[in-house]
Amino acid sequence: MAHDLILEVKNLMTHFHLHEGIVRAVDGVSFNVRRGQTLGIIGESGCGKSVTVHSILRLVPSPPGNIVDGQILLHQGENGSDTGAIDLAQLDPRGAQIRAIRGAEISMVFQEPMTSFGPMHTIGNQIIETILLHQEDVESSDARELAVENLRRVGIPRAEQIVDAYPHQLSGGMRQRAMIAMALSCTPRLLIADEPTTALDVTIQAQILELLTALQEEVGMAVIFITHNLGVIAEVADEVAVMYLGRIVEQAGVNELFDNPQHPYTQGLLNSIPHIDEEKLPRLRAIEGVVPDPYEIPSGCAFSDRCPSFMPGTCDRAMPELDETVPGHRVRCFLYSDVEEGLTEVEHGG
Amino acid sequence: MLTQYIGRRLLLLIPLILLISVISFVLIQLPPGDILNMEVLRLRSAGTQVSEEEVEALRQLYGLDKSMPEQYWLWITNILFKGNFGTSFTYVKSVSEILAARVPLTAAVSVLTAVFVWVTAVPIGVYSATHQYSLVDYFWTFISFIGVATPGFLLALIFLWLAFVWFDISAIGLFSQQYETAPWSWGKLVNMLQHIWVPIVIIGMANTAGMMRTMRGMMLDELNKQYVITARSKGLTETRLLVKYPVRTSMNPVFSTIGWMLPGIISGEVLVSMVLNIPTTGPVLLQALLNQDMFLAGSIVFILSILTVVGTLVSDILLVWLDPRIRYEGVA
Repeated sequence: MAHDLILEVKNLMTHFHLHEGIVRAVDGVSFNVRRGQTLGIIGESGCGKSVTVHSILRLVPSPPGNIVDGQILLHQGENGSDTGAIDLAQLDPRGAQIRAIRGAEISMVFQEPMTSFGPMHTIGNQIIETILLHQEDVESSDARELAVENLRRVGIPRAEQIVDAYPHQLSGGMRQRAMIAMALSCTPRLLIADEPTTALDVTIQAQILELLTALQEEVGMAVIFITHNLGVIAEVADEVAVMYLGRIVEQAGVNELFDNPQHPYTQGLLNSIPHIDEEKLPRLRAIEGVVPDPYEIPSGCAFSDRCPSFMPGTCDRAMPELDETVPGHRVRCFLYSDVEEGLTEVEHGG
Repeated sequence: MLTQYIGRRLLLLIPLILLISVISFVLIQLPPGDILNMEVLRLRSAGTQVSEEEVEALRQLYGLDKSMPEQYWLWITNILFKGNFGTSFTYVKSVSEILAARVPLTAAVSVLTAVFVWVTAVPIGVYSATHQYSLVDYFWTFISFIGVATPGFLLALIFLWLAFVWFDISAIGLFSQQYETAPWSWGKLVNMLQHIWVPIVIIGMANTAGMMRTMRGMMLDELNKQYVITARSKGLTETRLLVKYPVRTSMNPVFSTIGWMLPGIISGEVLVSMVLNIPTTGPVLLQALLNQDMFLAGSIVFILSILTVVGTLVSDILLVWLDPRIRYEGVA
């Protein structure tokens, strides 16, 4: 199975150096992405999920953002021959190496279909641009045909006409389809979908999710899917990572996570979903408090100030490790990990 | 579809230009008195006897005794059907003759100024935006504030003084002395190009400074937009994606201001040309207005207005070409 590994993120830290101080947007995130699998990353706004995936493609604006530590290993080679890995974290964000990876090996679909395409050029022009950029053997005369084919594949009707349409002439759902067509035009090994359905209404949302799942089966690519919508994540993900304030707090297979949520934050998120079969609609059970200001993160566990299971003297003294509780299920919480271990570490560390 | 649009706009120009001609004529007639009062005053103060009959005869000769609509009708039909703009009293020459020498120069100075504004302001604005808060950005921000705040004629005076003090040259005029009255030749053209950059830079200064700020602001807005990140995530080089996407979007104000940049340049040019003694229409217009030389003033205002209207049309057509969103909304 090792050859199935496409991307390995190890202890990634992306910090923003601002006048007000350092914002640790991503603070030690690790995960693996395998061929044909979908990793869902879920969390509230500002938890660092977007910064994490932007870091992978080195799209974090610098200054102020910097990858201060960690590795982002993109494994090369196909069909079992792992010819080594490139550490994307070490590449020049403007260099030729990362540019050859962007759009070709790893491509991205964004949240805002309304503004994802440049307004001054046709959809086709922007797709053809990607094709010609990465596929040197394609003649410019054939690129248009390829673009039409890609549009057809994502279910756009009259693709040979839509290829000449400007973005403002298409609906949001159509634009997001075209965006997916563009992202897949060079058959990437990894597709990063950064809240691709958030801006769409629910019926279109379902269509786009179906489309993504179907295309993934067809092409066999890996997907990192970011959302703050638990329903969406349940539908698309194989593995789920829950993020809170720059760290993964819980990670498990999708069924395990929904059946057996262990971190109080994950439990809170799941509890806050209203259930359709409840007889009398109760008040929504929201998580207490708000996400703290990035400059005033509580000491110890970052969730300690909102946590219903807060243990004084423990949770406010150290950050728990992400430990495996059940095989394949890891949680960052002192309810499950050895309290003493975490505390002694702090004392040793000073 | 585009030709249809241009055709419709050209048709709309006709009533607009007629309206402008009426307004310019009426405006010039508005002050009390006329050119003959000024002329008689001048002659009398010089000691020449002018009888009332003579004045009346002159008045009839020039049609000044007729009602305003009649005068306008005479004026506009002469222009439209005979190409005759009337006679200037102060210069005792036909208006066409005076303008033939000056309007092309005014057009040259204006167009070159506009080109200078774009060629400098656009790249500087783009650089400032992509290197926001860098030393270079602060430098140009400082320069542009000075540029916006300093009137052109003052710049012209400062420039003249510096040129005189430092280099001991007189930077006045558009031609060296030997070419000033000479007919047009290759040498005269080269000579003009050697001089013309001074008024261009001075007249263009305020516009350049303003445009720089506009371009920087537009670019800063566009740079954070999703489509720029999309383009980057496709693997385009930074230069290519900047030029293709945000710069193109940011060019909108550059094109849409062509129309009102021209009158701005022309009115700014009047003062600067007075100071630098440049033979464009500006100084003549001022003189003509002071002397109530109505045919001359009216013709200049009329011709400059037409240039402005045409400039606006050109800017609209360019915008339609530049921005597909305008193209479809406008024609549909």
